[in-house]
Amino acid sequence: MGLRFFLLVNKQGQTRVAQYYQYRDVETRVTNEAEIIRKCLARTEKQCSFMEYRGFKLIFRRYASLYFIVGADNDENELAILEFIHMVVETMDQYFEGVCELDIMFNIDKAHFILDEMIANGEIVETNKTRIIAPIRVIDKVDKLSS
Amino acid sequence: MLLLDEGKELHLMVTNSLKQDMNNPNPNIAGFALCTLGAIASAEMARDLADEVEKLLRSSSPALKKKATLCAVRLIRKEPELVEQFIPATRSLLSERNHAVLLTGVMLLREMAQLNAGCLESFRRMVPSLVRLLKTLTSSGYSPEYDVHGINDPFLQTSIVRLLQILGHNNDEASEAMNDVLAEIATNTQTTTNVGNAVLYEVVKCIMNIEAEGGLRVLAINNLGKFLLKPDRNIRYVALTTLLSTVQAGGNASEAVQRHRSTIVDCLREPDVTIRRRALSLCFSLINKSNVRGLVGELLDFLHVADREFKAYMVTELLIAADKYAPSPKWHVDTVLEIITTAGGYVQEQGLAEIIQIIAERSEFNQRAVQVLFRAITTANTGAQSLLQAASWCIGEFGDLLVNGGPLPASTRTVTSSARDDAGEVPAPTAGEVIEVLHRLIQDPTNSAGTRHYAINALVKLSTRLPNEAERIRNIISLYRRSIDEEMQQRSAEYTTLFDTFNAIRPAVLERMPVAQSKARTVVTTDLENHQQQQQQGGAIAAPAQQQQGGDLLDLLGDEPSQQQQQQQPAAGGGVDLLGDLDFGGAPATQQQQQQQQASSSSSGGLDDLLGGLLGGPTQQQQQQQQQGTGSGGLDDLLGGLLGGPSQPAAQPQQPQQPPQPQAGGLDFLMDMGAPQQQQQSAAVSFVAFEGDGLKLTFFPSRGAQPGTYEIKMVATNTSATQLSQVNIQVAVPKTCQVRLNAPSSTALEPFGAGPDITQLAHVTAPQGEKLRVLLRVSYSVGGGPVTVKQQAVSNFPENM
Repeated sequence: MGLRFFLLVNKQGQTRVAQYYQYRDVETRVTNEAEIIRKCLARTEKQCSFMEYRGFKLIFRRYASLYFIVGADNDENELAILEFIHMVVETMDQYFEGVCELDIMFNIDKAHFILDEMIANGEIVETNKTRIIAPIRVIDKVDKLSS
Repeated sequence: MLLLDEGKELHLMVTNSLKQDMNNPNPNIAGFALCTLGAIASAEMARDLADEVEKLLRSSSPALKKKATLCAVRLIRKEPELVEQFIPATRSLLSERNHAVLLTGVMLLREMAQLNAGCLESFRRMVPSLVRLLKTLTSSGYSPEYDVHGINDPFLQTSIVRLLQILGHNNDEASEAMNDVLAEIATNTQTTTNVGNAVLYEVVKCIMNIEAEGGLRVLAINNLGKFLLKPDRNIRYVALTTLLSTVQAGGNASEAVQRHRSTIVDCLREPDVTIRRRALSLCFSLINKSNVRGLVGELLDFLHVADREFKAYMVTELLIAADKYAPSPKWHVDTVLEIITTAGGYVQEQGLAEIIQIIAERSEFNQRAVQVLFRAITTANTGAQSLLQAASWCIGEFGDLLVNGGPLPASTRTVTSSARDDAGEVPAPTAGEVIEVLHRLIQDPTNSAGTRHYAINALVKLSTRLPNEAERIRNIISLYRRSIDEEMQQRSAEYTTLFDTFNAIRPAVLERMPVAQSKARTVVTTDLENHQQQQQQGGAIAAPAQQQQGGDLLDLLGDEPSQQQQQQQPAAGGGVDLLGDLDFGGAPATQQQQQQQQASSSSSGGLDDLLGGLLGGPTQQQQQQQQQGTGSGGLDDLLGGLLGGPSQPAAQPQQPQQPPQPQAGGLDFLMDMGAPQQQQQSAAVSFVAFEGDGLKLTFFPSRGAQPGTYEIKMVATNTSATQLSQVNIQVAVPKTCQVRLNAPSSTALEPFGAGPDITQLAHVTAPQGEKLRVLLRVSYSVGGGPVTVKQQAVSNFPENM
């Protein structure tokens, strides 16, 4: 079934972006997120980035003060997902030209668009940065014209 | 997807507008509609919109195509019947040039293959084209579009490999077709980056799952072995996980995994607990006969530093492994001692019983065990209850060996090389010190009730092991007659009575425990043998009076009045319980008596009489054999007769030599009921073949099943005050005969026949008509001194055996 969710959390444990590829009602999401985030934040540099959690895998990667957490099925390739997280970060970096937490906070829609272009239905769709960003640039142009 | 659930009413209304959007000529709008459908589709929507999705799947725009493909994945997941509809569309997917479409297309194929067995079959034909695709990906040079750290689209590569894994599973032909390309990737992929490892990892997983040839599997496992050497923890994690599933799946792969054992053991020192846990499970599944010494040694080292949550698991697994693969009894004993001294607090009750059993079974290491355990509980202030219990039991049983056994060994670490800080020998404790230690165990309020019960039982047993301290022990035990703990109170009262009223039989009651039968299987066979022998000996019928006697005795001791040995045995099997011992002893006495078919004479109901009757069992027997027919006398009388064994043979001219056991003391004889030879001995012919330095060798010859075959049972006992060790009995026969010797039951004999006797079987084949004669060669060491060798010809075998 591939990926289950994609979370972007800061060091204080606040969720910045959350995308789910399986329906969960809001309450379970909040409680699960809190638990997952706590677990991930507790990991030290010396520990590996994979965890088993309630029948699926958590794969996370830390960039400065941001944690990218992916929930994936057990048969997924952890290393590939780790690489995919890096690809998401690179793409955002290319789009925002030096991405930081504030960029994402104030352009949450764009962050979601980028993720939507890369993951659909819990599977990886596109891994070419230029092609991912292209439709979002189109939207930007439309926005500029209308404003 | 964020807010909308399949069940919401809005869903129904959305369907129509999605349909319109998908038909919209603007690809962006159609793309959005596909994304939405891919995220929220329900089974109904899937049926309604499948046609539109299929149409878009054939569109020329890659942007639409990739979205339509993933949308189709969602639809068939929701409604597996739709698989058929999408099969025609899949044909063109693999010839696509756009990587995103390929990636999603492979995904769709994977999903269809998993959902539908028919698809799986037909897709197997695609294996060659998938292999070609993979080859192009790996061999083509740098392509800027999809390059990640020098690897050409790793995501597409892993996706294809995953599809191959599904197609090759349980199919030789498909597996054969993909062998080459997998081997190529496994050897050529550079492993300096995470991406390369990701691809390699997927390939390894694939190789493990398909019907790959042996060489390829070894290559895959070696790749995992290389992973284990990487500094990156994530890679070690996946390597361990994969190795674990490989080993657990069994097969011939574990050989190759064994080669990476040392690397795996190194992972136990990893700071990450998840990795340690995996490494640990892997270590346990790798233990086998050839590596048990090294690996268990490593694990014992790790046991010192292991996380608390691991210890209980490790103890159980280590005990199992030690039991299964122990290369020598000494190693086994040392290992269990090491386990219980380092992780005594984590040994479960079951494990404790097992450990005690192991120690008890290997009598030559009793002394070492008690020394190590005593030292462990005295040097450190341990709160590990299981350790204290095991130590109490051993001190109780082998206290004499502790006090008289010389200095305590330097360290428990003989299993592994690393020395502990408390090196150096410590002089043996005095009897007073040992008692003091046990008493402290009872007094310590932090000890569990179970530990205190073990300790008080140990104390009472010590009263016979260390006779000089009996008075002091009596005083300590009697203190607890008012204990608040019911069990303590009862034991204390019982034992005090034993001291005061039955002091004469106390040594016999507190004899060393017989080795309990640990395996239910052995118990059963012993019973069967007993039963058969009983029948062979002429269908003994118990005389009612005798039955009554045995029954009363058991009643008296507070256990069920069952006559059946079979029922008694399990009760006593686990036995640290003293009363258990008595039951244990009681049953065979009854049986012995039954076998004699002697109507009991005049024994009446008094306690003294009953005890006398029981303990005097063998005596009575002998007397009855001589048709003296007198009733059992007073307790003192009988015990006197019994314990003063050597006077008896004189009264029995028809038996050249009495079987050795009855001389050892009442209960000892009675307790040995487990061994079937006892029944035989009373009937079989026996004679002393050798006697010297306290070593007495009794022969129990009998004819074998075939004519001209003989079976000689040789029982060696020690009547001297010193221990005999390295006892070795050899038998030679004239050239015309043949001899085969079974292994002896042990090689050491405790003074005064305190321990088990050595029994050994010799099978002799002699030509018919020839008289049986053998040359006996006995070697032994008195009290650990030089080995003495004696030779003697034995030809006085009786005619009527």
